[in-house]
Amino acid sequence: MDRISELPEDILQRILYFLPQSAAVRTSVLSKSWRHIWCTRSNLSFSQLNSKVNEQEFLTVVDKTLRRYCDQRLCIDEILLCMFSCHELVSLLDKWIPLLATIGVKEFCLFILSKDHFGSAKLHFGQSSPENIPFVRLRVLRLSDVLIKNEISDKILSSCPLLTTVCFHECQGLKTLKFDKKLHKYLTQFAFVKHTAHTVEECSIEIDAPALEIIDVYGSKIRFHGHNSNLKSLSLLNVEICSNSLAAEQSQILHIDAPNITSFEYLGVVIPSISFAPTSGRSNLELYMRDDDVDDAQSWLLRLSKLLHALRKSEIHLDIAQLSRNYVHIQEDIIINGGNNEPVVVEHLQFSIGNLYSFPSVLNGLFCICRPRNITPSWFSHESNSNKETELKKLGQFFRNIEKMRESGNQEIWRDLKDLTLEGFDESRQQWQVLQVTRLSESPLPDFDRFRVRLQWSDRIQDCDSTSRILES
Amino acid sequence: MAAETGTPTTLTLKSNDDELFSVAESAAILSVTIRNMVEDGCAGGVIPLDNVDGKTLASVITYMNGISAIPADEEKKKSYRDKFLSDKDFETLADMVLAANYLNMSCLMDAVSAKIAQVMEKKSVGWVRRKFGIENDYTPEEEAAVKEEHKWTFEGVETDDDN
Repeated sequence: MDRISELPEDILQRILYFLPQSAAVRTSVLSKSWRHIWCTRSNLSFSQLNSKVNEQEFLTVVDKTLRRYCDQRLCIDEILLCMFSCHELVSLLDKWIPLLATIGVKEFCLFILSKDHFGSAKLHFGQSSPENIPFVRLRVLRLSDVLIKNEISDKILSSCPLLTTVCFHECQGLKTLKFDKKLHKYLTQFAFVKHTAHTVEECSIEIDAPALEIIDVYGSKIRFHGHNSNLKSLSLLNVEICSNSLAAEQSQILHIDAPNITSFEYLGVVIPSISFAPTSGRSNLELYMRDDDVDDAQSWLLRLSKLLHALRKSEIHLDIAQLSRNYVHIQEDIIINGGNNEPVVVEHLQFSIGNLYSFPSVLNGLFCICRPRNITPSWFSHESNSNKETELKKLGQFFRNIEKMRESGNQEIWRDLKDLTLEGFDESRQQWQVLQVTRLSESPLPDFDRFRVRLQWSDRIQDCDSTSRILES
Repeated sequence: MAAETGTPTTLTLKSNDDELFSVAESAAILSVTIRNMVEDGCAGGVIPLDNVDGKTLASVITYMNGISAIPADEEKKKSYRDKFLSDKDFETLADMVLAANYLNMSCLMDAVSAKIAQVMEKKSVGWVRRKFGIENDYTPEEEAAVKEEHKWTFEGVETDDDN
């Protein structure tokens, strides 16, 4: 016999695992020994996409195959079903889904494709798909691009107590989502992402699930309750944080008991005030400075200082976008003395500049509260004809500005700076290279696409930072 | 074990044609079969692998060393696997999949199985038979009957000229 037909059946089954149903079934024609191998494989994969089979035949084949598995009491671990929406779909799925539960399917992946070519219509959950999911033991639920009524989502969430992962990706129709500590004891991962949310008020999320380890939310209102001692990763992007306290509307206060957090990510217009302090890991902050913040840049910087201080034991990556066109006035003394906080080491500062005239003062304000090790400036360019030459010119200007600050700025800040260099990233060698600032205006222009300003601060800053890290660990 | 002595432990593996190979324990334990032997304390002498020949074992060890040198980055591991398998003919792949099965190395097993599946997926029955040397023991009537039974699977597949 030939090599492949000689392979043990479990290996052949594994090879068939990687084939779509039609190709797996086709192997039955190869020879007599291949006749029945496909019949018992432990996964099924049916897709109408790129399939030449007509719709009625496709549906019949799926129906027949599922019934055969059920009748012969065969096991299926995984089923992938990718089909176009049709009028029989709901009644078919209503028949098939209970079968899946009988067969003991561990993973069911259902894609319903829209026949309209624009593909903008969302699948209406409960209308073009059955609303009843008879999986009491459901552990992972991911819904993408569906329209789902709150009654249905509530019903699913309350009838599946074993859920460990729940993800809503670009789903419409949800007004509230509630996770309860009694009902969702095993929930470890939750994601709600809606980039198209016009206002954060569209959906309001309440979380009281102590087992949660990962929370990823984009665009909604969120309120936390209870303990979150298992929480390791928290990502809140364009989120409105609701608090039970009567604190000012303007400042988002994130009261969350999360002592083991190692990754915190935040994007928003309001600087939040946080009640937890990561002892390691990484923090990414993406903040905007708007016109109304500019009027009170002082308190904006003090709020940021407080936030950085809380995060100081993690590796901080700070991305500040200055959106305002107005001049920003900052009194360094008040910030340096009024903050009561030691300046915090920031691994990377990405500084996006909207107004060339006020950026030195904003940058100076940032130097009052933090010690960035690397700075990457970028410009919101209003001129359409911006090219590499002008970009490099601005970069040179930016670098010289910091040099000037170092010479004549507040010595409280600048006496700690040991070295200041400009570096470009060499793609071929995958490393940063020191660059003379004069090279930015000489031809040939340096052949780099990424640049950074590298600042080395005195050991005093590094030391107090690293000792506190050692002490904490 | 390695962690206790501080120096990397090397294991000696013996193929069924009596070739000896040394391999770092940290790489070899990608095989659950070998890991179990190490944990049971059988790793002191030579580990005999009765179902793998020297040529295949050499290749598997290359894979073990290559993949364990890559840090936890699924993308990079996948591209290493693709590259590793890219120049292997079917005979070698069949040897590898048997060895991976015996050594209980699921990542290699899946990579080789997927590679064989990929060769078969879009091809006609005749092409697959020729490629793998499978002898057609159906009578023409029997073959026609099987084809008729699963007619839907032949829609859009390239036709066989010489069948």
